[in-house]
Amino acid sequence: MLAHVAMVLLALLVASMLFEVVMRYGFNAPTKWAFDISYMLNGSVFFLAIGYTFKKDTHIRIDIFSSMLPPVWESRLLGFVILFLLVPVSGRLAYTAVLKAWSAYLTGAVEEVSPWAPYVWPFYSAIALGLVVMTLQCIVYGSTRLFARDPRQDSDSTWN
Amino acid sequence: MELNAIFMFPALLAAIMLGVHVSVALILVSFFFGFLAFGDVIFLQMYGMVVQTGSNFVLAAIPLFVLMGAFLERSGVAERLFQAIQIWVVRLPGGLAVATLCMCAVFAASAGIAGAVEVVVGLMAIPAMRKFNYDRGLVSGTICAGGSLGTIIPPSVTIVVYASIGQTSVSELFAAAMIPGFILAGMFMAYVVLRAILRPQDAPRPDLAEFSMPLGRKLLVTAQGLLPALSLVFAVLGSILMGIASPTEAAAVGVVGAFLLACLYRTMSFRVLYESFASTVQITAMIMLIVLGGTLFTGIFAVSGGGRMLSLFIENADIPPQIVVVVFLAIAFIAGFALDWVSIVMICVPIFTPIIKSIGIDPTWFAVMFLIVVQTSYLTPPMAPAVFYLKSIAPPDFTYGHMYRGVMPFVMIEIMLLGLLALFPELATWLPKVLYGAGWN
Repeated sequence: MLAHVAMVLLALLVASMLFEVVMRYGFNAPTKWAFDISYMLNGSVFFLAIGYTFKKDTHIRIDIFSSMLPPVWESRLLGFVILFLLVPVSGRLAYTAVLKAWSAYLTGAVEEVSPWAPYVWPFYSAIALGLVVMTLQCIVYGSTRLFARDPRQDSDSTWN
Repeated sequence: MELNAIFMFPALLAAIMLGVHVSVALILVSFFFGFLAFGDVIFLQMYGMVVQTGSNFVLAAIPLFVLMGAFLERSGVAERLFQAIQIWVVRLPGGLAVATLCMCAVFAASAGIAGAVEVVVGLMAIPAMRKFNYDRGLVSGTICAGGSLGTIIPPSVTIVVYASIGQTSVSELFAAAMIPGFILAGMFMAYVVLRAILRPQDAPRPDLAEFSMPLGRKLLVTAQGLLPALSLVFAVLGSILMGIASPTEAAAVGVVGAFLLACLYRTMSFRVLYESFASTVQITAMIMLIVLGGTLFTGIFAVSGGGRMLSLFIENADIPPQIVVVVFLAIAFIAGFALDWVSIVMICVPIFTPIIKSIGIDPTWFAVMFLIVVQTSYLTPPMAPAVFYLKSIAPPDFTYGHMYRGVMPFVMIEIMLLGLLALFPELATWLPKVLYGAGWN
């Protein structure tokens, strides 16, 4: 679901950059928002897709050494690290991110270095939402691997 | 506190070897060392770096280049391109291998992820070369080496990442990598042709009848298959190098161009569109999470005093600059045995660049050397990621022996290029100077 939002935002990123180029060369009227929009959209695409990428298991892992372990233990080890080490850290980060997004919304904070001065809370919310979903996805990811009896052995995806 | 920073590297290495995701390993190691040094404040610091990574304008070019590559790859533009290149070079000795290398050079754009070009081109070119009984070593070497070209031939995503943290501009690095990149591709092709002349049994002439067609038809296939793709790549690169558009904008125009091209070929469908977007957001998240982990890692390393310690050490020990460069490149080389390109750049570059500048080495030149070393390491047996990728797509009768023997000549060529660049730094520094005026000096 969030991944679909990320895809839509990616399409918007293409469109806004194209619009900027057309305005600048076609009408000699560069927009003042293209710069801010481009980094905010890219950042949002990234944060919203982190969880999805865990789900699809396409974050890079180097298993040339760990694959020497029995597959069950390799999988349990990974599950343990994700569930008991990564989840608390990303959960706490998500908490910080939610607070920041909330306070940015309440105070109506704007991007100060930009002439366009957009509100920052939508971008901060995307970060917060992305981190929350990443944490939830990692709980699933970690626990399925920790309790796996018969992990899939897909040695083909070694370098993915 | 300063001693702690040094232990970040063994800890990272251990985590990566345990099979934890590279990005997760980077995040966790930086968290634990940061927590030891700063306590609870670390979460605010980490959050600051999260926002900083997420709001980096330069990095916005990454999803766009990857999406452009995905369109070209999934909509059959790649196959047409391969056919069109084949008709022109098939008469050369080793023609199919040359066509494969050309193809890789054009497809460097989609090299957001190490191995992507290799897999795409490999799936197309291996059957073609096998059909005419090309030597398995030559086939393996060609595909691995071609796939590695994506690190330095622009528009390379690795260069975008490098520029975003190496205090330099994307266009300048693209310009710097341009000449060495084409020399390298040229040397690869020259080697293939030479080998085919000296050992014709390695690259038997294909049955030319299969490729012969009337000139009119030949021109048509070329006009349809080669020209649009080439002009797309040149338009994107050209507008970046001439300063007409920022890399992000040029990449967006490239995406639209690739989309229109696929529509023209009538191969664009809702499925292609969806799959391209889905794979692009995944690759983007994958790369950006490594970038984020790397930012945290080197950030914590720096605030714990690691960077200062290293530069003090180098100053006090009075190590000659050449040795520093060699040692740095050696570290990158070893890192390349296991790590992917983006991780190596993220871990090494923020630590190396300030030192490189302070000892009076041109950072642009160093960047090109660094990227070529990473690429060489990607190819060098026995820990060669390039070979592992190939193994995953090659027919079963390709053994590691064939592949290792096959890549060695290409590794030699890379080393020759490094030598050339060391002797003539202008190969890398001339073009940026001409295009953007004052260089580093």
